[in-house]
Amino acid sequence: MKLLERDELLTSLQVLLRDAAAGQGSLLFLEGEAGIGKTSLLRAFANSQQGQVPVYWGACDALHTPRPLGPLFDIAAQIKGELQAALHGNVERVRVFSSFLAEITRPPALIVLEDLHWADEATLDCLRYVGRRIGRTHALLVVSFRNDEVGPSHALRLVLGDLATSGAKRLSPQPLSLAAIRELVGDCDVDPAELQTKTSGNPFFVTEVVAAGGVRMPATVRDAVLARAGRLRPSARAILDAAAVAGPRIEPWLLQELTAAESGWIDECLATGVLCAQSGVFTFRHELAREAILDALTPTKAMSLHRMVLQALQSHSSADLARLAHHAEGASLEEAVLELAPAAAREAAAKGAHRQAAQQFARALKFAATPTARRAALLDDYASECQLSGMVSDAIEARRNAVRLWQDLGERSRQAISLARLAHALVVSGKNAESEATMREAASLVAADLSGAAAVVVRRWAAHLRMLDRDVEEAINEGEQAKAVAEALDDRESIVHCLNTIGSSLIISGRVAEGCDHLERSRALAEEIRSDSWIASAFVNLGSACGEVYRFDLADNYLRQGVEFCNDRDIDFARLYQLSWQALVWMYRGRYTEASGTAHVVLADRRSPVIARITALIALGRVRARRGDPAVWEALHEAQELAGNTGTLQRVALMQAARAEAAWLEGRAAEAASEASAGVELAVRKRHSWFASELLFWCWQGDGSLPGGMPDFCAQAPFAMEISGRWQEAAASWSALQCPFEAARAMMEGDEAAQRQALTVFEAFGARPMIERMRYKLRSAGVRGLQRGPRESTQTNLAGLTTKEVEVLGLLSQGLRNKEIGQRLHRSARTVDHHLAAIFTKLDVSTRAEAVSAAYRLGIIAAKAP
Amino acid sequence: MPRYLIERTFPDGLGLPANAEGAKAATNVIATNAQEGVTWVHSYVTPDRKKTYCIYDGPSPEAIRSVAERNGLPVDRISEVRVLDPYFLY
Repeated sequence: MKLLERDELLTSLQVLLRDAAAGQGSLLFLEGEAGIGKTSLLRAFANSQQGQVPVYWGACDALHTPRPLGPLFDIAAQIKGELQAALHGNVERVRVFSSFLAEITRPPALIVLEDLHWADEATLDCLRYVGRRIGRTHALLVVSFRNDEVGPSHALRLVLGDLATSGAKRLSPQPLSLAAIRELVGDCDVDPAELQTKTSGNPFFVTEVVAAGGVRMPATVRDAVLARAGRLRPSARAILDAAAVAGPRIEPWLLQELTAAESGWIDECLATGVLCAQSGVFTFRHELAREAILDALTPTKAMSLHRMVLQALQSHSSADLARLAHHAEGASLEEAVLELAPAAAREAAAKGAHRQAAQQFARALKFAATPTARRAALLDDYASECQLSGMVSDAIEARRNAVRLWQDLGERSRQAISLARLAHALVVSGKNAESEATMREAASLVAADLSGAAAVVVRRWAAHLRMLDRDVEEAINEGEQAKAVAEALDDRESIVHCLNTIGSSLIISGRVAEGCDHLERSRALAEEIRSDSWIASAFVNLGSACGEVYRFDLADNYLRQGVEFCNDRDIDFARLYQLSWQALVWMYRGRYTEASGTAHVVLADRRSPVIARITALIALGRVRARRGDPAVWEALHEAQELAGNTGTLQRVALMQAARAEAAWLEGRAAEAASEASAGVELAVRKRHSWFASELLFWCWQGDGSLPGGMPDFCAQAPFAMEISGRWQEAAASWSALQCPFEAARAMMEGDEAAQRQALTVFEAFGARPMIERMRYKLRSAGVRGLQRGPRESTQTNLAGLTTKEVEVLGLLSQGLRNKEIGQRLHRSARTVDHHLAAIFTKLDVSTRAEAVSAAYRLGIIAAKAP
Repeated sequence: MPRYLIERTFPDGLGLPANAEGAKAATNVIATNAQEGVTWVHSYVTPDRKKTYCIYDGPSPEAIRSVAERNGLPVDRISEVRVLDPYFLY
């Protein structure tokens, strides 16, 4: 068929493919309504490239629950090799993605992925993975989708948003003009203008009407398709019906088998152009046509066709479980659905398509209505997959039903395990009190046999909840006991879980090295059992627990690794939570631009779980407060609302401390004290030395009070040193912990030299409220020669570096060490350190070499001739 | 979108001449602002041209700071403000 008015699009594709061949690959989204001509355009383009570059073609199917990675299987069949082995083998998902990327981009290539609006989760993850990396390859990846079927909450929207920043391009074919329609109509007795109005210029609709050739203009595209099919003789029509049920792409043997006696009629379908033969399979000219034919079938006819398709596929031992399950459901064959859907679900889950897995379990549940152990087990599986795909409320409901059913069936062990997992789902959704009660019930059910397999599962989740609630001694005890039983039973997942819980608890209680060691062991074992989610969980707890005890050096390192791990595998929950902690760590280190930028990333992503939002809001609120910027309370009020609901120490203490500091910086001392005191009792009760000492510190800053006194276990905390006037000790501790702002705050209470040094630090960070306080304090003490406004020399260059900082940069570029720079400038090495920290912040760099090259780039220091 | 008052200090005086060069500089600032959804409404300048008070609309204080840095403009203080009109207080 002739392609009209698509020359510009073809040229664009041509240019992109040429750039790709030259080493600048790209991803193009081709979007438009059904029938607008996406496939025709791509086929025409692919044909024009024949023999010049390899073309790989994959498509998503309109099944209710698509086969995970369906398009990759299509492409693997075309290239064979490593990708096929990876797909069929039991390998890590990221390895499948990377081998896909490697295979398709080795020589310059054109890859087409069609109909991504029907894609499963794993395919979308793969697209995200490939899309982020395509720029460095020799490939053009074209992805088509129906934009009218991709609503704001469609999973593909998120991918589009994610990839927009990686330079993905978008094109959309336009409707046909009147001139083009006139050309298509030719000599037929159809009014082109009326046809344009009726069809809005949709090419598929237009050609269907022209092909139907009737006198009356059909009102919808469906009518047009049926009018055209109506011209077929009954035997040919029967073939069309069978083909519509068999799926978007029908193998020739299948169609033969379904319509054995009438095989000669296939030619008639092909001749009228309703069916096409395309690379070894039959397809409808358009999916719209298949849908129209399918809708016109009577339910009984459709059922018997589905049964025939299923039998034929099974006798040819098809391995496409999603397809088999689809036909089993269409045929209403209970036993077949109950066998195939859970198998398809497990396959989907193994490939990371948890949403599809949940849908397959839901499909099985429709056919397992009787209250049996099978139904209860399906409910449990469904709940687990719901939770993994972020549908926590569905998970809770299903888990409750499973609990009830196990109870009715008298299966105490199973009931206990379901209860323990329900408790975890409840705590994830912030229902801590209900979770506690649920866990107690679970524990009572396994109390009789504490060395059984069910007891291990219950007790490891119990330990986990204790850890989350910062009852660390109990968490360690419970975790050790569960681990001992798990080891006896060789239950490796439970061992991984226990090590994780014990390690996190140890870090929180101050035994940092020991805790990190446990978590590292948990991670190594999780790698052995190939559990990405437990590996991610180890990183999350290493990063956040080290951050919670002010070990920002360790936290920064683990968070970087963890974010990268989750990025490659699209584990959003863990990735976003770690990013929120990274924002907090950067805030403490004085890197305000990075901290607030990262916090905004977390807050703008609607996948961010509540705990990530809370942490990001706290980081953002504190950055604003320390800079003296507005909108502090916008962030901290929302944090209070979200954290208050959890009622758990790790959220409440962070939030109350941030609010106390913000109030104090704004000069409302009494409010600072009352904000801080709201969290003191909980923090002291849980014996958390950092949270307790910080909250007490703000009480003391606010109104001089120390509710309940400073507990013994806080004696070594730098906050306690600040309170007791040991400012030098405190400043040294803070510096060692890489908290320059806190160190300067401690020095504020010192002698004039210390105070001047504190002022330098605050100025370097642009911490306006502290600068004002420090200047006022110095002036009140009679110190003269302080600048009134910002320093005269500030802002003479783009990065806003001071003269002294430019001088330091100049010496840095000569390769001098801090001590040598200090000698040249008659300053202490410590002062040089502060200057460097400020320079790094202002230039947004993290190493000395990066600072020097940024300074050259910005023209701050001139490259000298040798 | 919140409105902000931004105070800036120019120790050597603000160099924004009322000619083609100045117009080009202002156009550059406006284009950079647009990258973060920030709008420069207008500014007040002291007679010695050492301080400016700028009214901006923007999504967040961070967006204001980020474009200021890219434009090479100093920021002393950002305050969120609302219009108060003395002739319409009743």
